[in-house]
Amino acid sequence: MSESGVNSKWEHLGLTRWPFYKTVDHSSAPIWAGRQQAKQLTDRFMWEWVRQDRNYIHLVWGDLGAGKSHTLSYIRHHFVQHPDLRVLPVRAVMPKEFSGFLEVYQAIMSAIDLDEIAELFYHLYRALGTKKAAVRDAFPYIPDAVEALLQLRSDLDSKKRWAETWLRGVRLTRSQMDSLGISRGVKDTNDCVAMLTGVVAIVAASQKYDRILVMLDECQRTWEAKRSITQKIDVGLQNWHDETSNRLTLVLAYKSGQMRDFLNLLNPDVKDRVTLPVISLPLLDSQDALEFVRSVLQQCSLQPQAPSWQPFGEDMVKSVVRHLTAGHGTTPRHLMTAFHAILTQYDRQIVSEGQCNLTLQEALAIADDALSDPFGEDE
Amino acid sequence: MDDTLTPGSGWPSTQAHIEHAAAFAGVLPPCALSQAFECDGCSAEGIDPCPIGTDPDYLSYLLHLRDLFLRQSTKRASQIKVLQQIFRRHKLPLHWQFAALLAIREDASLFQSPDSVRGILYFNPQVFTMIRDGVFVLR
Repeated sequence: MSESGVNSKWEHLGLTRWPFYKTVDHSSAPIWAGRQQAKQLTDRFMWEWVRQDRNYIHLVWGDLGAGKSHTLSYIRHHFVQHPDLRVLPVRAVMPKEFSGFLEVYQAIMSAIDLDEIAELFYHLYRALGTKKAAVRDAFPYIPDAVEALLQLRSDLDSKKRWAETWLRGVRLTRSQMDSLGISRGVKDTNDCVAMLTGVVAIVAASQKYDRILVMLDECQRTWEAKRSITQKIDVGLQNWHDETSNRLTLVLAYKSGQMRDFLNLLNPDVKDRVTLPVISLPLLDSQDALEFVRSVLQQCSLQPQAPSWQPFGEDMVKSVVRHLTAGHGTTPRHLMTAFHAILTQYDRQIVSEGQCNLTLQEALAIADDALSDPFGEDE
Repeated sequence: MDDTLTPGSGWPSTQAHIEHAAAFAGVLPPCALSQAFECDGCSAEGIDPCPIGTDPDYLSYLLHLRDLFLRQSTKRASQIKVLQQIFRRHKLPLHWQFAALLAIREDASLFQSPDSVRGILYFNPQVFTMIRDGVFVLR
């Protein structure tokens, strides 16, 4: 849809676009509402990654629906929109179940554009001139990776597919590996770390990028596994961080009710390597929630410079926010859900009846209905 | 041996029942506390002489069993409360080993080892639900 089409669709609401969404999509990624402290910290870190050559591990912590995924999308969008910053952003999600670091490796490799890595590697390979040199520079521990990356440019679809499968850490049959000229699969933590270290080396040696940024969402899933498995994952991440050449940023996003508990559950070896402070996204109190809604509306307003609560009245927004934050506070997701439902009613009434007569009590009832959960689970 | 202190026939099985009730349910025969010795409805009714009324050492042994039970169940209630608070705060499923990590940090005097946390989570299904192997949520 064209930009003017978007404008005309929501013009009667005084908006350029629909402001309230429940999941992060490409168009909403650049929007940042409220939480100025977290934004400033995120912006500072992004600036640091570009300016300084060292490895980073950052932590993002937040309550359910507090905006962790959005923060990761915001970071990703920033680097996609600014290729001149020379950071390759990769956003992966922790698997739901794992037996070790291999599944984490698979999740990361599934999120990486392997065609791009193959292209970057090809340039490196041509510059170095020999396979031996490519192995030495990128994959000394697992030389088969060089063959697999070269096969990604093969004219044969089957070979290309098998090479991709192998690189993503999925097992191939003996005959498939033979046809690729590969002797063994990616199996344990050492293999996975060697492969990931090689990927960072390729990115760092390229003309296009200086750094790879890997963002891992839903890291709290590691606490659903046995400690021995979680330790393997932590060792994998820690080795990857230690063995790469100052061009890796790892952002780990954890969902947990309280920051104190979240920090207590972290492996001390990983905690030692973390760049502090943690990007923290706690529940919003009444004032923060109000600022959040105001900021979302303003960024989608036809007149973004003029402060207004359009299409709602200020009293309406304040009352709904007060209602939602009574108790311990609320999350951006709850605010989005509630105001999405209220705005839908506004839109429907204005389009069908020419005006909106929604009372405050009706708005509160709509918000409550939108947030009621028949299954008794938040997520 | 003083025959007046030798319990009447049927005592061994009654004794097992009374001691089990004191040790595992904290329940004592009514006369143990009231000293009224009204035997109607008591599981030792008909035992003559009845050691509960006649033997002060046996009575103190029963009280000791009951006190152990009360102490243990009070501790168990506190442990469940702490674990409930942890799960409520965390809001998400946790493997018992990580729940134990938080519980021991929270109150090391209440939880001796991770295995004690595992026992509480496994054996209180009215409070904690196991959703996968070793992974618990609040019920």
